[in-house]
Amino acid sequence: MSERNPRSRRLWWLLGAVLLCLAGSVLLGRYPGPFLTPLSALRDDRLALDLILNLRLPRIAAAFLFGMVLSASGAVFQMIFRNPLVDSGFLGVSQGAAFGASLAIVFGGGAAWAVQGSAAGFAVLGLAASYTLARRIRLGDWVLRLVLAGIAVSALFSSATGAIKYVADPNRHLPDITFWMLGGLWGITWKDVVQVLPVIVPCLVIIYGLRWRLNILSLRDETAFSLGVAPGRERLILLIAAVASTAAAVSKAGQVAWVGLIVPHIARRIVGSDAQRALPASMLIGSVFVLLCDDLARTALSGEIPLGILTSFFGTILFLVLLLKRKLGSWR
Amino acid sequence: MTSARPMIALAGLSFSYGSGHPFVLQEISLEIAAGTVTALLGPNGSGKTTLLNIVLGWLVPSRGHIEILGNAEDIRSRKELSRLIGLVPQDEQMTFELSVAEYVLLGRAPYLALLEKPSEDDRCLALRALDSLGLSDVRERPITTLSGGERQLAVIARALVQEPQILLLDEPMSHLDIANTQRILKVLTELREKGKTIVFTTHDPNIAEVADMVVLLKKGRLQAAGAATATLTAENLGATYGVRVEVVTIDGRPVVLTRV
Repeated sequence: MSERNPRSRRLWWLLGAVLLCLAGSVLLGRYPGPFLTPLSALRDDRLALDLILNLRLPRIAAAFLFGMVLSASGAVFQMIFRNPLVDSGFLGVSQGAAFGASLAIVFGGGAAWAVQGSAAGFAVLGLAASYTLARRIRLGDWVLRLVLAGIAVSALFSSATGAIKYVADPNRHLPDITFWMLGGLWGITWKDVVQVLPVIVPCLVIIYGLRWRLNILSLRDETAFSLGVAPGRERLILLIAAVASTAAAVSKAGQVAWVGLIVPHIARRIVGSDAQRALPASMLIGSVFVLLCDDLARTALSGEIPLGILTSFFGTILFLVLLLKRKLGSWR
Repeated sequence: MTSARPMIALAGLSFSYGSGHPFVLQEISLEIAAGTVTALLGPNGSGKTTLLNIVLGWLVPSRGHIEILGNAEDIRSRKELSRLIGLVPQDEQMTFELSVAEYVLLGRAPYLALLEKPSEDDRCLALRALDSLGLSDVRERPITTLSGGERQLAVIARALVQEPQILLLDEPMSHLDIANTQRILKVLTELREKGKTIVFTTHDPNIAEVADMVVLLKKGRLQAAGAATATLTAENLGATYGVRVEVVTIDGRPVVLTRV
């Protein structure tokens, strides 16, 4: 319980792991050799330095930031919906983004700014539609209504995306849609990173600041109210922060699946379920997870492996390991 | 019934979950004195939990009004109310495995600003509450691994860390064995000695018997209210539940026997 708890110390170990991964990632790459850029190359090889400063570093920054965002948002979704199996795939956010991106690729010319803007816009619209619908449903409590509405909105966006794929030009548009849906950071520049910072930083500050109250919001509404919390209002603030930051990340990286679902589980295993520690742990582990997957995505083959494929693959394996090692009747 | 000034006063209170919905509570007028234990008794769907939620401030009465300590409930801020009234819900939702101490510490929320986290003093208060309820040994255990009785005590400890004057408990003894039921009843009577006003709901008239005042509800209406011996009569219980019961007195206390 105390801040001097060994579990709290594990946060410092995680922070160390993040710094190590960041440093290692800078040197990982396919220039000049196949896997590693030697330190001497930074001094002697102008091209290597340019490559690191202008291509590798923004990509590392994006992986670090997006990993944090996706896992922090996942932790928020799981706690405010009192359900350890939800992530941004609920509430129409991911499907909304996919629809927005497909729409812009096929009918909007496919310019990067149009795809990103449309994905972010429809992700937020997905949440707004789910929220509005949930207020009109007359079944169950707030959480159930929101999840039901989210499932319905996601299904609608999915079918609309399917329709767009059906009419899309199979040679020009369909590969772009597929590639976007598999996610990746190959095109990320410093400009992209700077563009999302004004959205991501305030959202992460809000989520981090309210992390202890997430524990209260995971209890019944009546209990939260009896503890002086405005459950509806505080959930909405956290929800908007989680969705807006996810939309910003997804608009640049496409669909990077499984991070928001699996990382909070790993964090709870390591530092316990108290969101005071579990949220920062999720953010740190999320950044390491996406960073390592992206390192692999850009170095394993001479071509690029879509990031979403790797996060799904390793996320699923970790999920199965957690499930098989889980104590009966407990979620951490 | 020791104080002239009621802690909780309900006057002509009615409640429905929206226009077109039937009234769940109708014309309830009741005064609950400070430092007493009140039991709300009645069949399923009689409005007991709704009444607790109105006292809590979570639900707003459709008609009539409620006063807590002489003040209309609606003039109090949510934070003020949460320092005054603690809730032990019927089935606390615990999806994630907080430790017992971490869970009890949540009771300090009414004293913390939006972005504030609990201080060392708050932690000490939480540990003291756990100690007073005999839960020190399990404080680092995940709350989901506690037995039913320990878990209920942990929820009570969380509510006590709020330092409330009024403690509302929704069926605190349901699903508990006799030993744990006695344990909870003992805690409630000790809290009364410390001046807390306790209101709890129950299905069991023999548990309601420990209260200073028993309130019988039927289909949202007040059937009877008063001292246990005067209220827990065969006639009142028969009219409330629609079954034949026999009430015998043992050591001056009413004991309700059901007749099949």
